[in-house]
Amino acid sequence: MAATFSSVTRSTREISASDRPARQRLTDVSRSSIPRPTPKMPPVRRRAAGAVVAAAVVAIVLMLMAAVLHTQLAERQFRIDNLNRSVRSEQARFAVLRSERAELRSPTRLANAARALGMSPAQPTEFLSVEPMELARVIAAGGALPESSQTVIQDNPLGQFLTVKILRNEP
Amino acid sequence: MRERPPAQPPRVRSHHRVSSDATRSGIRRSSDEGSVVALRSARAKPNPSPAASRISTRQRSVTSNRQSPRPRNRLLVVLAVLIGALAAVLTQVGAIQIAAKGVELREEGARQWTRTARLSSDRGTIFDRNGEELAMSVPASTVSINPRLITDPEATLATLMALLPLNEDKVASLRNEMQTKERGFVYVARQIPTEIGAQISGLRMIGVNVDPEARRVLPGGDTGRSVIGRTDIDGVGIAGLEMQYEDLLTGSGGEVTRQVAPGGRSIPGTEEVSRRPVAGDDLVVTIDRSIQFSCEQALINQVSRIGAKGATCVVMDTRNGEIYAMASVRRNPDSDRVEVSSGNFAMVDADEPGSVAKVITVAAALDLGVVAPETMFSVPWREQYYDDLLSDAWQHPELDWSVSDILVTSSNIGTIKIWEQIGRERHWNYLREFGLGEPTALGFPGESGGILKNWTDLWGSERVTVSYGQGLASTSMQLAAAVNVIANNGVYVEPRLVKSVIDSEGTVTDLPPSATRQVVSAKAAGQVRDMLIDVVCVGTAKEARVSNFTVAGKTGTGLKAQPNGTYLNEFGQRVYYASFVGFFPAEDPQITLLITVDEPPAGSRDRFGGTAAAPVFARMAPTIVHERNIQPPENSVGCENR
Repeated sequence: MAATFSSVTRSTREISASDRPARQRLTDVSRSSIPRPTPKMPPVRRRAAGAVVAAAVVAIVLMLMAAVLHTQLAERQFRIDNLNRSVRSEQARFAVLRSERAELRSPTRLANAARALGMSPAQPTEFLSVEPMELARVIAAGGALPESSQTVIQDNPLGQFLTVKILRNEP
Repeated sequence: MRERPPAQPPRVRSHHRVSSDATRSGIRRSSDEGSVVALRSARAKPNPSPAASRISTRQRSVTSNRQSPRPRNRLLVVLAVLIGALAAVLTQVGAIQIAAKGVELREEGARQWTRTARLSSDRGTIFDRNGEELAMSVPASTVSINPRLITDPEATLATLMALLPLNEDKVASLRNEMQTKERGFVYVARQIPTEIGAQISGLRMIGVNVDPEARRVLPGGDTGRSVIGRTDIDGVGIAGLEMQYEDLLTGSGGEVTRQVAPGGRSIPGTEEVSRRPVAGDDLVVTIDRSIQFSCEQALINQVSRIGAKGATCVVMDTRNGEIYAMASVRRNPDSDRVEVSSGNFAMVDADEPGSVAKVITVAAALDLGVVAPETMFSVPWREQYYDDLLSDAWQHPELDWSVSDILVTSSNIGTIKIWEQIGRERHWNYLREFGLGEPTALGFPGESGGILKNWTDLWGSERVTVSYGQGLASTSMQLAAAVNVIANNGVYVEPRLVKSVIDSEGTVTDLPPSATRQVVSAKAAGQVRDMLIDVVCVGTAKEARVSNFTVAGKTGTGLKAQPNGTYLNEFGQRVYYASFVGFFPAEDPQITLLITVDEPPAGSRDRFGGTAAAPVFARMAPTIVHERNIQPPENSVGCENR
């Protein structure tokens, strides 16, 4: 409001000499009938238009943001669905592989394969007693008894199955 | 030079000022429109006096208000209409909700734009005691058609025939279904490999559906088939453990909902699992797959060699009753091949145990103290009892035999002499304590409890023949558990087939150990055990001997009752049932093993327990020793000094 008042005053002073009559008239009119400019708010119509534009901009921005958010959500859901499908697919593959491994390890297949290779059942096991002194010599030479529990196949099908089953139930 | 327009007074745009003037003059500003009209009037007259201006404005405002209805009223009318409409909508909504139609309507709406599919749960796996899969479900696909949607039956059939092994009958049936279009769903092939299912699905043929459906498999082939049992095509257990533990193995199915477009196509990304399927529990059984396989192979070889009808085998942990193997083989009458049977005859068939039951009679007599191992009896080879002339298996002069001699030689007459010292009722009570006459704790589907009449119901010579195993019937499992009492220091231990259960979250729960009861004293059991070692070393079961181990056991050669009420078949031949039950190492028993051979050839040497069943025991023992890592006790002397 103060700025408007001072600008009016300044414009009055800056009128050149050639414009004097007009200025004089203006001054006369101002003094006689026009009330002194008073500080006032910007016009309501301009403010309303500004508010409408601002609201529209905000609305558009919000709509765009909503659209982006929705797209993001849809995209993430799509990825989650894909991941779920992958998990199900891998679980199915795990079951198939378990089945194949169990079949490969089955005594039926091993016996057939052994027969095909010309193998025959072993002779009855003979248990031999070891002299304590001989045993002591072996321990002294090797530092320890050889591991009697060494096996060719180290994996544990049930252990692996449990691991996968527990993981499947984790949130 | 253009003339400047005449100076005008600064434009007064503020409505407030006019408005305030109007207010001061007693006229309420009703709207911006009225104020604008007043302003325009003011501009038309450049120099009105303030009073005149106020009057003019007032007059024009009043005139304007008189010419059109008040906007406020119009707004009120619109508002009232809107409120009325809203109230009507709310009333209708409330009425629908209160009338309890809301839920139905929502469901009806959801039905129109959603489709719900059932998610099958995974059936539990059956593991052996070492964690090897005995039975499990693998993914598969099922192909079905909707004949009403198929427009080109021949082309559809040709495509399906190229990918699926369809026989002529099936093709004809499908062609008929496609032409008549009476049904909306017909199976084409069930539980086919998923790869083939994916190929058919990829063709996107209208009216052809491919759905996932698990398939139950036994990775070990027939190994353990008679114990595991089987499921039907729908995955429902119909035999064996699959049937017994159906509730545990079967989980609860889930549901998936997806939205569909008006055309019926699914909308991608709308899939939602409304109810998650819960997988069934897994079973860990006490069976050892390797021992089971060896058992089955040994039986198949023996039955094939001697020409018997079938055989059973039970391998049991002496101390805790865990079953390492339980096998049944049968000769296929069509192919004449001996195969692992689908029925568990070791538990569902009951036959006369024969001489193995003498172990119970002798143990009871020793436990009661009515005889000692050295107690002597004068034993003829035959003697009249009631209406029958009963005899031993071979002719011999009347001999003085000790209790031990009677058991080692398996004398029927001698056993009756011992039984007479016990008494009928007490002997019957011991038979019950040894587990005869009632099913075991296994609760296996179709398990037989055997036949054991009450002692008061026995008739004629039955009253004495029960002492040596005729006139009663037992299953292989009952017999193994009964002899195990002797191996286990007089303690009966219930057989056990399931070791633990794994729930859907992976938690392993061990089942409680088997119930036990003291049947005879440890001293009496030890005395009988010594006699059974002699049976193997010098008696009827020499072919059951195993190198490096001391074996104790008893042979049995029973007769099978025939449908004609006798022990003779349609050819007039006796029908035998040979058995051997033993345990080792006899000094510290760990394994109890029973072998029975069903209907060995009547006229051959292989009809006896010592010749038909005992050799199988000897062939099986090394495998069990290896698999269970059993070592002979230091004090084991085998059959030396016997």
